[in-house]
Amino acid sequence: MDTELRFLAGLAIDESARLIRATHRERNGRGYSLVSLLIQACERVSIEASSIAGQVPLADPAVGPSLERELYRLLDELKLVHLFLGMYAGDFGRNDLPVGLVHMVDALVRDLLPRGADPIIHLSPENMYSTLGVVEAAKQLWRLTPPPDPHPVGFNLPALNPENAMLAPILAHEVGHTAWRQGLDAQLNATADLTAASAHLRSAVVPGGPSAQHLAELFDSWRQELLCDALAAVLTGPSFLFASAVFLPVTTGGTPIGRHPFPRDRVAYTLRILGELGWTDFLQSNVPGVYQWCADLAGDVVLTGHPAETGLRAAIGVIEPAITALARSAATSPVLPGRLESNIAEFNELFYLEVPCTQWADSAITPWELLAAAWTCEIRRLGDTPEALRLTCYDEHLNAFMIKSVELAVILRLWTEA
Amino acid sequence: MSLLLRDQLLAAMSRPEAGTRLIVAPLLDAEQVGGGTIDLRLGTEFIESRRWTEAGIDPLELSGEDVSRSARSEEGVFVSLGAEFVLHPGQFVLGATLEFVRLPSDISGQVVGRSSWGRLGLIVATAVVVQPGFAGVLTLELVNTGNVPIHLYPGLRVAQLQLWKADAPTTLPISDRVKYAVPLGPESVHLAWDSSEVGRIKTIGGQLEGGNGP
Repeated sequence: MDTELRFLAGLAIDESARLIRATHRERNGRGYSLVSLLIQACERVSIEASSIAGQVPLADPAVGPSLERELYRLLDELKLVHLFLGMYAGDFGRNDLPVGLVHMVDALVRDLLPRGADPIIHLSPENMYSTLGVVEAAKQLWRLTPPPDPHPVGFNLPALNPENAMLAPILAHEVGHTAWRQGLDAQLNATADLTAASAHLRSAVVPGGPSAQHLAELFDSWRQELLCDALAAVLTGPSFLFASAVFLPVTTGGTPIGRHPFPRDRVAYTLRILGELGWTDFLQSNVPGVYQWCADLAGDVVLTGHPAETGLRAAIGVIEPAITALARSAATSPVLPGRLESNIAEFNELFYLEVPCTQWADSAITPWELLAAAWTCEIRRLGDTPEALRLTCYDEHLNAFMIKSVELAVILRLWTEA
Repeated sequence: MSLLLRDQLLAAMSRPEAGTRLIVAPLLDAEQVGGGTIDLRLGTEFIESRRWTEAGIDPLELSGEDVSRSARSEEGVFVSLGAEFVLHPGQFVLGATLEFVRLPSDISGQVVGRSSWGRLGLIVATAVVVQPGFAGVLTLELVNTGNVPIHLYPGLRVAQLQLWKADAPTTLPISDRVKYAVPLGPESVHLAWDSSEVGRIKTIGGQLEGGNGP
């Protein structure tokens, strides 16, 4: 046993040292909070492995198996370090992404995450748009270290089209999942009428349908998704309506019950939130065609009448006001209809000339104001039809232009505040 | 043609109709408008050229395929405000202005370096002409001709724009480019665009070599 323990401890110590050498601890930039934590984890593994090696030869052979298990656990932790280093190695402090895109991600973090985050932008061919709370995903690594602040959060962007500005509202939804994990779930539990919701769920349990536990899981997933929608709608205003109508897409009618609410229900909810925030007049006067199309589709929901679907809808309906209220209090610096309405004519004049607009009334435009104004103007210019909506969201030149505009507007703000 | 001085520059930037206005955005500091020039700042995007395996760049032998191969040898680098880009002795990179510039159809311009940088050995722009009606950021050709590395920071004033007002607007229409496809960062080589003239030069060269000269 002594030989095996020495062998395993030596492996853990050598592997820790090798992983530490493979990182670039001297560099600064986005993502280095994760690097620092991975190095800490390696150092801790090395210390613990050395401690075990120091107990060999064993005074009490009976403890050998437990020490062996401990060493295997440490080696498993190093595998996890290896995995995260391998996944994000090219993303730490990267300088191959447009500055405007990075500013936009920073703004999402600032405006939606109460505890902040260290964003790691990871171009992935597989996981379009999703975000990953890296700390939560590897929490066994930090069991003995203090929780990292700010949390590293991985932003997956589509590898083939990372500049697509459509991702901004969609990313706002995805960042909402991190906000959920940072405490919004507890806040919602404290304010929503979960008792009434539970009653609806109980009534939805019927022979041959989903079990009570499965319904509870679906409900938990739905309310999280709707809170993320609400956060994105509050923060980015009409942009979330435009992006989600294209991205979901809204034309999808009835689908099997899944972990996301039905697309048309989500668009209907987005329209209700926008209405509550005072966006309806703006939408009806600037893009009446697209607004009406979204409203028509959202109102044309195919109900199956199945008790599970009915119960889930009713349960979500009960807590919807609490979700909306929470999103309104949690999203800071949202785009406001009044400011957009009073400046969109000036914006459109420059936009038509293909000149980035960077400020309104002596204050820098926020990324969310910029996206909402640009998409509204372009949809209107192209005829205010669903086709115009699709063309606008997928126009790569327009997306690049908007990303550049975001960069210039943020630089103006930073310069003014410095 | 007359050089625009400070008051005329400010007047051109204040024309009521956006389409005829001289636009420099964002203008981070009003003092960028000097006596007869507008200071321009270094932008956040650079194009570095890697050493490549071709024998050299010969415009007469350059095909569209070669140009794209040349473009593949380039690497875009983005540097945020507050971060640095180190330009080593002898290194050449393409940069761009931070400002987005739009000239009305009756004004043309020229980008020149600022003397303080020139004295450090930094060449910023090789007489970049800006045509009336241009819209976009301006590409800068940055070369360190000195002996020590120069640390460049986006936001620093590195160039200046001289502008001339013409007696009448240009009669050449602004190109029918794709909407929003204005230059947003440094622009790379466009040699292939002159392919018809390259063909003519090659033809003349062939005639002369074949003894059919004048």
